[in-house]
Amino acid sequence: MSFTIAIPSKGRLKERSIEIFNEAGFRVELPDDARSYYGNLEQVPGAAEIEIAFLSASEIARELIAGNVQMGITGEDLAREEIADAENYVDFCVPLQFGHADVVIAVPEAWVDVSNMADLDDVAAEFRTRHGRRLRIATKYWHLTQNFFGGHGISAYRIVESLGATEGAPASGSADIIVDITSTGTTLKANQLKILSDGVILKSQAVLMASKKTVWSENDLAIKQTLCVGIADILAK
Amino acid sequence: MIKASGKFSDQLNAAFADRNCVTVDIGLLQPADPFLETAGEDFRRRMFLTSDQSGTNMCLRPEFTIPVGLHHLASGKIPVRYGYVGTVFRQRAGEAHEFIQAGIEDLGNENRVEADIASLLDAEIILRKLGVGNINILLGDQAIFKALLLALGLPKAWREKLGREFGDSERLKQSLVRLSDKTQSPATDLPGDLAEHIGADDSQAVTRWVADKMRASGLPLTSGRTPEAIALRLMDKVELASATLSDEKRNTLEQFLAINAPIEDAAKIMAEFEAKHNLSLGPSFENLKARLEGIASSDIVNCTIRFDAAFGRRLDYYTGLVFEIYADGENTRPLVGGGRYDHLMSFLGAESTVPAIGFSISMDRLERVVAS
Repeated sequence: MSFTIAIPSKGRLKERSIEIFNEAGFRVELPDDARSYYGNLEQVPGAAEIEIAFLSASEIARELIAGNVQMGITGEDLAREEIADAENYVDFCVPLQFGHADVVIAVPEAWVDVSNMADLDDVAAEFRTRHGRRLRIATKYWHLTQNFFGGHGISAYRIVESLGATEGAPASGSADIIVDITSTGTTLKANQLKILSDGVILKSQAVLMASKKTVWSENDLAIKQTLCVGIADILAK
Repeated sequence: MIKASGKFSDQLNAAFADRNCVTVDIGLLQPADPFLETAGEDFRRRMFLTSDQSGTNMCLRPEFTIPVGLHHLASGKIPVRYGYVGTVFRQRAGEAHEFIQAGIEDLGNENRVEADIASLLDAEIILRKLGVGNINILLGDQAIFKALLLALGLPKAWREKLGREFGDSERLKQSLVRLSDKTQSPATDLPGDLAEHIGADDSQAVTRWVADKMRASGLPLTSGRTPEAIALRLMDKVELASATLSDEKRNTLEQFLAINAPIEDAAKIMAEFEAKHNLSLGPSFENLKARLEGIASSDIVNCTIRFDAAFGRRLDYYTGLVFEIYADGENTRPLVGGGRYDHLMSFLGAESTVPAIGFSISMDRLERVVAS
C-alpha cells in the first residue's frame, strides 16, 4: 500500500499545508493538471513514494478515521466531531499553529442573566414549563455539543441542525442559542451573541494527524516520524 | 393486539391477563421527536435514528413508555393498565443493542398509593413467575427531597438546581460544596444603567432594558425567553450572588441523603430525622410513609427492600416513588426500572395531569439470571 497524506483541497488551509511541508525541507509536487486531486511529496528521506491527496477538510477527517489514508492535515474540530472517541482513531501528531478556531456556546447578549453553563442549565430546565418546548440549539457540531452538555449534566435541550449562517438562528427564531466555530468573534458580535465564560468546547487548529486504523509498516512508521519531527522543528523555530 | 414473543411469551401473556392488563400494539418504527422532546437530547446518543423521504426523524423503538402514553392519549382517557413486550433498540455499552423489554404502565389511576404498591407487586410477581430467585428492591422518592429543600427555606433558584441534580450524587455533592463556599465572589459584570435599575429594584425598568436589547438584536420577543423572564431571573441571581448555604443546612441535606435503610425501619428513621432537625416534610412524607407501609405489608416475597433517600431518576417527568430491582448478587445492572411519572402525559400533550406509574424489565438480563 502506498503512503498517502491527505491535505485540504482549497483555500488558506491548502496553501499553509503546502508551505509547512516545503518549509520543513520536503517538497510538495503539485499535479501538472490543475484539475487533478493528486500530487506527491518529495525529498522525504527513506520514502519511495508519498502520495498527496487533496480532499475537503471534513473528508480528510473521515478518511483518517476509516484508515484509508496514513496521514492528513485538517481541523481538530472536524475529527472530534466526526467520531465521539476520536483519539482511538486518530493520533493528533503536530498542532500546526494555523487554522485557529474555537467551537463555542453563544447566547444572545440580551440574556443578561446568563453568563456561564450553570446559568444555561437553569434556563434549559425551565424552558419546557415556560415555553412548552425544549431549549433549541443551532449547530452543525452534534457530537461536540452532546458530549459537552452531557459532561455538564444538561440534557434538557434539542439540537436544530444548521449547516450555514448558524449565528443568525436566534434572530430568525429557528433556535435560541448556538454552538459554532469562531476565530475572532466578530461575526458573533455582529449578531449580538456572547460566548459563555466556560462555554469554549474546543480550541481547535489545523493538526497533522495520523490514522490509527491503518496498518503501519516499520518503514511507514519511520516516514511518519521523519515528517512529524521535521515539521515540529520548523514550528519550534 | 400482539402476543408476547420469545422464550417467556406464554408466562408474560398469562401474567398480563392475571394482573388485569390489556396488551397494546406499538410499531417498531416510531417518530423520533416525542422521545427527544421528553427524554432530552442526551437520549439521541442511545437511539437508532433514520429519516423518511419527507425528512421526518424516525427511530427504531427505543422503549415503550412514551409510545404507550401516546396511544393512551389517542384512545381515550379511561384508566387502563397496559402490558407490553417486544424488541427495543438502544445503544448500551457492553450489552446488546437489540433486546426485549416487557413491562406494565398503569395510566389514569387516581388512587396513587394503591397504584404504586400494585406496580411494584406487578414487577415482583412477573419476575417470580419467570423463574428469577431472590431479588433486591431499591426504593427512592423524587418528591421527598424537594419537600426537604422547601422545608429548609432555600431560595427557589437553589431548590430547582438541587432538585434537578437529585439522583446524581456526585453532582449534587459538588453543588452543595459550591453553594456553601463563603469565599466565592460572583462577578456581576453588568452595564451601568442596567446595574442602576437593579440597584433601585425597578423590575419594570430592567424588563424594558432587556426588551430594548432584544429588539436591537432582532430577537423574537415572544417565541422564546421573554424580557420579563430574563429580567426576573437576573434580579434573583444578583440577589442570590452574595448568599451562601449555611453549614447547618448543608449538614442537614447531607444527613438526609445518607439515609439508606431496610423498608421496615425507613419511616422511623425519617421521622427521627424530622424531629432532630426540627423540620416538617409535610404531605410528601405522609405519601412516602403510606407507600412504605403498603409495600412492607403487601404480598411481595423473596426479597430485601431498602429505601435510599439519595436514589432518584434524572428525568424531569418522574414525580414520586421510583424503584429498581436487582437479581441477588448484582448491583449495577437492574432487571427492572420503574417509577411514578405524573408529568409525562402533560409533556406528551395531555391537557391535565394523568397519574402514571410503570416499569420495564430488561428481558436479556432476566434470561441470563434465570439461565445461571
